[in-house]
Amino acid sequence: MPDLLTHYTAAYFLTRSSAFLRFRAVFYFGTILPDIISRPVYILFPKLAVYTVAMHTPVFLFILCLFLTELFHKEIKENVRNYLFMGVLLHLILDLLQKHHVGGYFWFFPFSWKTFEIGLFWPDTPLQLTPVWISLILMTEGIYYMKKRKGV
Amino acid sequence: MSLRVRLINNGRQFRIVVLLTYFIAMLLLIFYGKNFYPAITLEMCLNQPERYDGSQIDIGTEITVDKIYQDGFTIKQFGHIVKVKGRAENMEPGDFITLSVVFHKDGWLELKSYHIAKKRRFKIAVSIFPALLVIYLLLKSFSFDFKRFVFEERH
Ligand SMILES: [Zn+2]
Repeated sequence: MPDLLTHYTAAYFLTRSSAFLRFRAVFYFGTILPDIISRPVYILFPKLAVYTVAMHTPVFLFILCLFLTELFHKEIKENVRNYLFMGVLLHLILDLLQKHHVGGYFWFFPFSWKTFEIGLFWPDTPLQLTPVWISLILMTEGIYYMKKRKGV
Repeated sequence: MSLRVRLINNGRQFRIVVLLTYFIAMLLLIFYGKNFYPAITLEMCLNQPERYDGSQIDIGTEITVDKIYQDGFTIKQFGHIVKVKGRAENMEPGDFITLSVVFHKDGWLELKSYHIAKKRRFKIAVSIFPALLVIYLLLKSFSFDFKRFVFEERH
C-alpha cells in the first residue's frame, strides 16, 4: 500500500472543488478505509494478520461499504454509498500500480488466490514525496483562501 | 397499532436484517481467508520441519533483521529467531524485510531474494495524521443519532 498521506492527497485533489463539499469527507473515508481496517491489526497484532487477508479485497470492501451506508440517514444513503465506493476504488487503483517483493493483492478473492499488480513503484517510493504532497495541499488551500478573501 | 407505526417497525426490522446479513457475510469472508489462505508460513515450517523441508516460502509479516553475520543474518518473527544463509547488502539490525527463502529441516533458511522496507516506521507515522484528519472531517460533516442509530448531516 502507498502510505495514507499519498492516498489522501490523491483523494483531496480529485474532490477539492466546492461541487464535492457535501460528501467530500465520505470520499476521503472511502479512500483510507481498506488500510485502516486491516493495517492496525497487522501492525499491532501481527499474529492475527491472517484474519485480515480478506479485508483488503474488493468483495469484502464492497460489502463493508454497503454495511456502512446502512448506518446513514436514508435521505443521504445513495450519495454516501457512491462516494464510499469511489473512494475505495481510488485506493485500489493506487494499490494496483505498486509492486511487491512477496505477496500482493487478491483481487478475485474468494474465487481465486491469484495476485496481480502493475508494478510501477515500491510501496515506500511515494513516501519520498511526503514534503511535496504536504506543500501542494498547503499551496492549494492558500490559493482557495486568497480567492475567498478577494471574493468577500 | 396504526399502519404508520407498523411500517416504521417493519422498516427498522428490515434494516437490522440487512445490517446483520452484511456483517455475517464479512465474517464469513474473514474466516474463509484465514482458513483457506494457501501460503506456507515460517511458523508452519518450524512446527513441522520434516514436512516442509525444501519448500520455498515467502515471508513478509513483521520480520525484522536480528543480527548480521559473514555468511548471512538472523531474522526475528513472532519471537522466533531463525538463521538465513545468503548474501545481503545494505541490511542493518532492526530493518523490516520481506524474504523469499527455501526452508531446511534443521532450522535454517536459504536466501533466494529479499527486499528491505527501510522507511516502514516513517510510513506508519505518516499514515496516522491523514487517518485522524479524515475521521475529524467525517465527524464535522455528520453526527450520530444514537436513538435512531444513524449518521445525519450536520447543518
Ligand atoms: Zn491498501
